Amino acid sequence: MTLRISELRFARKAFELGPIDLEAQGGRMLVLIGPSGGGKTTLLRLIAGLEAASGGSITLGDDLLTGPGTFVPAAARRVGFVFQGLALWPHMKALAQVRFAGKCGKKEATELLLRAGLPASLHKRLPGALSGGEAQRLAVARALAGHPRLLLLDEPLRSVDPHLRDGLQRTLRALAREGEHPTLCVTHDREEALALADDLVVLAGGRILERGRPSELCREPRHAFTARFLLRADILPLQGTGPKRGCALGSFSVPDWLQGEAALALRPGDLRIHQGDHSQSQPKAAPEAGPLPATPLPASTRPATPTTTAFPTKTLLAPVLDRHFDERGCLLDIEIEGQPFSLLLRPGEPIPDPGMQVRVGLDRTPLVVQADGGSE
Amino acid sequence: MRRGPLVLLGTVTLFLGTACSHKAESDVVLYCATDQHTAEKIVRLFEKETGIPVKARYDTEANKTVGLVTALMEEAKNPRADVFWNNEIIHTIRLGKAGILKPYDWPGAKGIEARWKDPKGRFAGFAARARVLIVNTEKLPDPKARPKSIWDLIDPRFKGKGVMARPLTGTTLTHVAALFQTLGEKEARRFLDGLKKNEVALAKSNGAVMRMVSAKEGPAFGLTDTDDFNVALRKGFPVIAVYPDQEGMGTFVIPNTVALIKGSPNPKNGKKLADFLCSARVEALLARSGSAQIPLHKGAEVPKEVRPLSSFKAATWDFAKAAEIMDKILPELRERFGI
Amino acid sequence: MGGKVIQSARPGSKTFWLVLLVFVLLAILPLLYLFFGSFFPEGSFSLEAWRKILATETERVQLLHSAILGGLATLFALLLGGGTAWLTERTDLPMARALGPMALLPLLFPPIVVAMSFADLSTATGLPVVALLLGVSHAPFAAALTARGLRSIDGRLYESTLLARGRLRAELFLLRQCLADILAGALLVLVFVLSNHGVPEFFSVKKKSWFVYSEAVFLRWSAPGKPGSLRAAEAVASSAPLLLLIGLALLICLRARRKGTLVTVASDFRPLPLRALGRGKLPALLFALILPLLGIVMPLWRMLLWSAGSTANHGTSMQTAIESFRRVVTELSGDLGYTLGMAALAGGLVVLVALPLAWEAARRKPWIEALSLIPLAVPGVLLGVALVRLWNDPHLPLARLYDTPALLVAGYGTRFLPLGVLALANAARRLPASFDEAARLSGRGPVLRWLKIQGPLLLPTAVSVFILGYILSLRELDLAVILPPGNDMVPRRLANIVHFGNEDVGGALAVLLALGAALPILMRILLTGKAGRADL
Repeated sequence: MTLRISELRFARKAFELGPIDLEAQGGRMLVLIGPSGGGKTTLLRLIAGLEAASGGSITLGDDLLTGPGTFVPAAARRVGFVFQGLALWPHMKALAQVRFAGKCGKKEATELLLRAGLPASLHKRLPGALSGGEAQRLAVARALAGHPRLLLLDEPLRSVDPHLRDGLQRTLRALAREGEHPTLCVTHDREEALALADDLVVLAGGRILERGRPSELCREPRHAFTARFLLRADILPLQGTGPKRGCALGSFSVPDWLQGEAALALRPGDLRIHQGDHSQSQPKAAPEAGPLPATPLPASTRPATPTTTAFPTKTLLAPVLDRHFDERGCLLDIEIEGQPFSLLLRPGEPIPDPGMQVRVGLDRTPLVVQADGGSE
Repeated sequence: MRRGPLVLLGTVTLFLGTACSHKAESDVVLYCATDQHTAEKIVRLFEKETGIPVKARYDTEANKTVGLVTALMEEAKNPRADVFWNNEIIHTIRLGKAGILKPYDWPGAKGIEARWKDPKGRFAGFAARARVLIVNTEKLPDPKARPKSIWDLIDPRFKGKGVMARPLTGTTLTHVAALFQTLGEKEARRFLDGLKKNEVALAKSNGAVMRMVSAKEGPAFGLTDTDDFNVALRKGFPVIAVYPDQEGMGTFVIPNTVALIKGSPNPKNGKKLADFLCSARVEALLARSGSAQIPLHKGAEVPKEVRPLSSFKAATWDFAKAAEIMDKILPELRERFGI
Repeated sequence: MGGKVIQSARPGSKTFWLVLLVFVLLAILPLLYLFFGSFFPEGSFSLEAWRKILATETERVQLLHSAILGGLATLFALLLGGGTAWLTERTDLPMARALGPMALLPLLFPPIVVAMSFADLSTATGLPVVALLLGVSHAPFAAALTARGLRSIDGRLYESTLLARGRLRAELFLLRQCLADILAGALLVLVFVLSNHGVPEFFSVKKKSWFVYSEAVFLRWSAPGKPGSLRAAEAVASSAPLLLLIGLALLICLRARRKGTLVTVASDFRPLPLRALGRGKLPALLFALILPLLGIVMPLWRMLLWSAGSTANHGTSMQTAIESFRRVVTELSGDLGYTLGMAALAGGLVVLVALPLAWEAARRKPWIEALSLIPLAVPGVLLGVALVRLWNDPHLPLARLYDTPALLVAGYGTRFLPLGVLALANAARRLPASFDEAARLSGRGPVLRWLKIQGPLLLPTAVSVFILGYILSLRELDLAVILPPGNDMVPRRLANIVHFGNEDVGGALAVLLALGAALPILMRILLTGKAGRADL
């Protein structure tokens, strides 16, 4: 079963979505990431038939759900939906919710709840008596009741404690791969997106910015937004319009595919502190360590387009604003061209105090990306 | 009809249910503005004697008889009532003028003098109430120092001691209109001006006048109807009724009225009921009731507690003219007594 | 799935439009027709009737009195009702669980009974007394809606303001958060106070007079003209200033409605923290007792004394009391049953009609709330006349139902509909749309969705609305007098009995009527353990 969305448009007041073209395969999880207000939830609601599109088409398998002159009502689409906030009926016990949603018997409902990871001892409880994770599992079970042909998840892990997410993510991945139905999940959480996605689509401002496997997007994001979102990169605009454009850190080649304004996407590990004089440093050609996922990346489906470029770059003096730690090590907040940037200190490096000036330069090939504003 | 056909179903069922549940078809419809407690007994007697069921609808005196007169006016296109029994006369005249009443020769009221009946036969008066002064004998113990005239209300001797209902509705309004008709505008206005000067308290109804005079504190006497006075008497308060102006214009008497409604659904039975209501028997019953109404039939038997019409001087006034005057003076009265 | 199914994206609106149409045809149009007719007295266009509005000094003063009395009574209601709600919801007041629901009890007695009971005890009179008594009688609206407002505020919002800005600011923040609810309560109080003429009139018998404008309107109807006459037109036009006053108040309420998202039943929610009263416990307890004392204990006590013969000069006796109750039971039990039955049907009709209207008001059409307020905002006599004209028109099939209880139920239902629409719309706003959407996606039909999802979730509010419609129908006098099937309604008879000096029977009847009014509340408490005052 494949979900195909073509030229889908939606407009309400100042908000516009689309045109959206998308394809989701059965047995795979497609994750839509993007900022709040970007149109992710609206897209799910359009697919579910809870909103009417103003143009374009939605096809599930061989059935046209939305198209010119056609609108299959939500009730007839056989779509499972896990709502943001879950929308569990507060007066109905867990088992009853699944039975009502799936028009199924007690046995089938119990099995579904167990498959979603809700132990039998909780089946007679009201949603208010369940923890965040348990309620989440109930919502998933309810969405799967009635053998949906498509599963839609709207921020499914939002109300779940971080330490419980791993288990739920496993369950969701397993459920997505079990059936023949495609699963669409929207989130604004990068960890969640990367953990769940077989395919990833970046949606912002009502448009798709880019799409690909998670590994590809993490390795070669094309858009400033994607780099910021997935790689926690900071963006430094490049000046000029030609094939070579410059900034305080040097001058960089712009890839052919990039139209319009370009920018450097600086991951925390891309910058390093230079000790000594103002001389130019010789950075390494490839990153040694970085924020990329450690898992082996699947084969790319994207055309190989160079987004990195060779450089000699400059160093510059930058004031230290602050410092903090996370799982990657010690991060400095420094200021370049009036904007804050993150710099990951190498193990053993002395930690400068806030207020000090440090000389910084690039440590590895930076990513050149499309500046904010464009789309696919 | 996707959401809530149940809502509709319920609403329809409700309406059908209530429509079917209504009481049995009545063979005569009476709109009655007199005291329900008294009237019901008379209605039941009629039903018992004739076998004709009466659907009676009563007014609320507290609401100043707004309900039934308004309803009769509004129902004129599709009349629902056969008979209107009013506890006073002015609204009946008004309904007659509006063309809502049907002329009739009133065989049941043959024994009642013509002056109590409409010359055009649109209504007949019967069983009257007198406008009397209720006097608290404990507050005014000296019989000689008690008021004898309605003019005593504005006599400086009784400054701050009198009370009457605001003359905006009911029998008090009728009374004031009658004063305008019999005394002329100048004298009537002198009376109204005097009320304020003499600090006469204004009550909301004749019942309130009775209660205020009966109470331990407050006004010592007031102008009210005989039926209200009788309530105080029954309750054992130290009060007497003074029939005012026996040496002057006389005491005002306001009759009940009965009328037939034009185009009514049950005209035959309506006549039977109307004849019954203004009969000497009913007058006698009303005289014996708690409201102690005064029979108008000549030679009617009168119980001890009721003063017959022949025993006191009744003022002579023209109802129709008073009704006309009332319409004219109402705005002035509202201005005077509205606040 | 089969072939193409084409359908509107907004299903479910047909029922709404149908109910709205019926409501407009049966309630709004007759009223509009009356107002329209007032421009054509004696058959030709004339502004004569409208020119006479407020033409006299008396009426202008009366309107001013109305505005002052309305404002002051509303203030009292907010102070007593809102204050009690604040104490029972926000503090560690002793017996808060009992005192909260008790703040609703003044609704059980008609305002005039409360007024007569007070006059039995005190010679105090004048504007403050009238305002206080009307405030007490209608304070339950303020209490219920303030309680609802306070319950819907997330405690964390309050606590964060408390930490950032201190106690005073936090309390002011609370006030602002539940302002819309408080104002809705105030609006209801104002509407009922402005249309009441019995109580101001009752207290104006003693020296200082405070006649109000509703009485001017009523007086116009006491000498009615034929339909179409100038006098009738004047009577209709005279209610315009009251409507204007209420319209102004409504505007303020609508503006104050919170713009932000409402707390929904699915929200992660923490109730407001309770404040310790400390030494203030006793005064607070005494304050919370004012409303039940004035609104229920006083009238109950006085009415029982009346039934025992206290208004006669012979003094009271148990025998008189027993005889009074015996007379009511033997002579009036049929009427009492009829009255309670009609009130129950009216309450039911309010719920049934309000549900689809409120649902749409909550989702897309907030103007419905203002529209539904009209039958309550106009004087009762005007609504009665409008209904009589419509239901007695020989050309319409409704004329067959004119003399049946259906007219009365429709009249009460129409009059008290706004309370249902306001309360249910508020409850519906608190249900996330996703509840219904989740059920729709399961392929469940509209009936089952209503029965299984919306119905149970709106049920507590619907029950509260039913009880309110029921109780208010037992207090309504104007419609009972104008509409033919209102003849056997006990409130009308009660007014008559008292007027004709049978206070002993009247006292017993008032007590039994109050007990009848309390029946559904008692049943609810027995069944659910809650009075449900915050469900409005």
